[in-house]
Amino acid sequence: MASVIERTRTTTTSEQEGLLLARYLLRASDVPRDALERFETGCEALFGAGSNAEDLAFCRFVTRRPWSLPYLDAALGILKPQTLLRKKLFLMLAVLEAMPQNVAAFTPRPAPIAVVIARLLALGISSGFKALAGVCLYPFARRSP
Amino acid sequence: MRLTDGVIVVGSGASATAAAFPLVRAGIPVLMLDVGNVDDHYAAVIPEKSFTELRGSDPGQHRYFLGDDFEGVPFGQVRVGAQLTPPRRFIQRDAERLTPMNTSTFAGVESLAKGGLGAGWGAVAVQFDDHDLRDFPIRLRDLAPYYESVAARIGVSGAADDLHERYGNCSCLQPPLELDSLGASILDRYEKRRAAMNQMGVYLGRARLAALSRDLGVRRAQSYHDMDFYSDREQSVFRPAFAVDELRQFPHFVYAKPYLVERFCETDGGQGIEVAALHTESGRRETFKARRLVIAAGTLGTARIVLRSLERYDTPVPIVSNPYTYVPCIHLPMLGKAVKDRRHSLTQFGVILEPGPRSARRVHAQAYSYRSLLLFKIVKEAPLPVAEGFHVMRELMNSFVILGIHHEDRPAVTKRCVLRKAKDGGPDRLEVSYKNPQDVEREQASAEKVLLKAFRKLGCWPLKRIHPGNGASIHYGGTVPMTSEDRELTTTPECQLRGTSTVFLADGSVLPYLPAKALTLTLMANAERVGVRVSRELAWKEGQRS
Repeated sequence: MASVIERTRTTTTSEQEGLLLARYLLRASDVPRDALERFETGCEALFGAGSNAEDLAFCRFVTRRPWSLPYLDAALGILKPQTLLRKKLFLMLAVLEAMPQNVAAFTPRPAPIAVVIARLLALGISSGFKALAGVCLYPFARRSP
Repeated sequence: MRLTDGVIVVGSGASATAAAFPLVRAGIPVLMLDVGNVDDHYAAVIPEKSFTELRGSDPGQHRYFLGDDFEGVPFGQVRVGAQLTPPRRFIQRDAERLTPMNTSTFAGVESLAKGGLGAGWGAVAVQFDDHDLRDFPIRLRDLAPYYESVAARIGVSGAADDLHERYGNCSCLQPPLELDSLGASILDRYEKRRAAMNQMGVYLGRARLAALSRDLGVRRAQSYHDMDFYSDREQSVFRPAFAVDELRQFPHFVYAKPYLVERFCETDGGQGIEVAALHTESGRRETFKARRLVIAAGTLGTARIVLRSLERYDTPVPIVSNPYTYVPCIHLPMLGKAVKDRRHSLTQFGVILEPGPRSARRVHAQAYSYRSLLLFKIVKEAPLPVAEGFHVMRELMNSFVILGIHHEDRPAVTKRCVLRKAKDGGPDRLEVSYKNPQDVEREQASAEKVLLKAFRKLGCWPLKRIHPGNGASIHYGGTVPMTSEDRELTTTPECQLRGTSTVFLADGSVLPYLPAKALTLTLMANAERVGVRVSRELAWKEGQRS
């Protein structure tokens, strides 16, 4: 009985996590069920061997405080790019990219060069601010119980 | 024991098949021994459609883009073989188990697949010239007829442009493959700045590829589906496995698998040869007997067989591997522009940096556009939040050019491999240590700077230089080099293993060093030279006997 409960709890956590990451990446509320299932299978295949306490702490922190994900992601991109949370984000990105319904989101959009440069600048500035906020969160997140 | 009155060829890669052709054409019985792994998983699930059609319509695309075990989602530090997508992973299957390697300094890739490493070949098919061969014991004239016949057999496309002389003349050259928008833009700028580029020692030209622009036999011309890293269905890009199937049409050719050749032993006073091989499915050991042996098991595999057969465990032999750097660049004139959907995934154009004040050695580079390997892989390289990184890379993707730079590699005491005998009954282990001297690394960095300066003049801004690690070029050679000096663990210039009468080596193991240019066409030309040499010798002996 205990193993069934444990298994159910884990699955739910993984699904919640998948939903959070997918919504963050696509900025959309609808996430296909297939994506969550594939993400879960991918996590088992790639990260099943166990992770260190700090890696798990980052994942717990963002699952409990979804608003913190963009900031922590930005900070980890600079401070700890190989951490489990970033790897899970890349896995979810790969899963979403390999789905026909998301093809438009992953296809370059032609635009005048000035527009492209403006978009890139906006993305750069937003990343910078998020990283600053993320660096402030970092010490709390790494010790998340 | 199985007997053949002809030749045993070990391996089924580009070299092995090239060596086998002249033998079977001369009517000599050939037994090809190979482990022969094939992709029996993904080939059937990839529909014959273009990349764009598949991306927009196939709900099963995750299977071949990401892999059923997510093997196409890499997280390691060492970035070797980006083109080894899930449908190409069979190339490495069983290699770690059956041919283990001990190394912390060399990311070696070995293959036990039907077609060997050629099953994932990027198809760059260029010739070495006399400058490249300057310290080889053979000259271009020794290889020239074989370059020609190999090119006619496998089909090579290219153009008569600035790289034509450097890539070698070929009377059977097919027209070049179409350029994609990015390649066309860069080559157009080069045309306008040719004099300045050439003054810097930089020459650009259309890619020379073992990919068809016109049908050849059963193989079809390139369809520009941009699925070349995933599927071989149209057979536009040459794969050695096609050559194995072609060889099997000859009644006196036998392809035997799954056999891992372990050792050889000369018999009958050097008139014959016995080969011991492991049947990898049953674990049974079998012996094969022939008149001659041609080993083309790959540079590392061949070294294993030679060292084990000659009982030269713990004896260091050299190894060379083209140092490789790749540089993602942004081609600013393409920023925000729409691009043609019709394209192939192979290299768009080649670049040669001739020796000059900043570089004593020739450098060869290949330029790729980026699309079919998917966006998520390049997002991983950016120190940005993933959500922003994905949008940044999407904006940049049409202007991305990946420059893969290869340097020449020469043997050095810091580059060695040693075969260690197994103590636990398992397979012997090959220990590889590889470190280039610092002055060589400095010289390579200096040459890269010249090349990147030239690329800035073409509107390509390098983002960063990535050194994926020693061995990452998957170009290996020099473990049993050909030399004019009579030294042990070398071959004659005709590639006969010294100390033997019946054993010939026909792969990268015999190249004494690696020029910067891609080596596969040379491996094939040299292997065919070996095959011709062996067939003539056997024909002469036959003549004497009768």
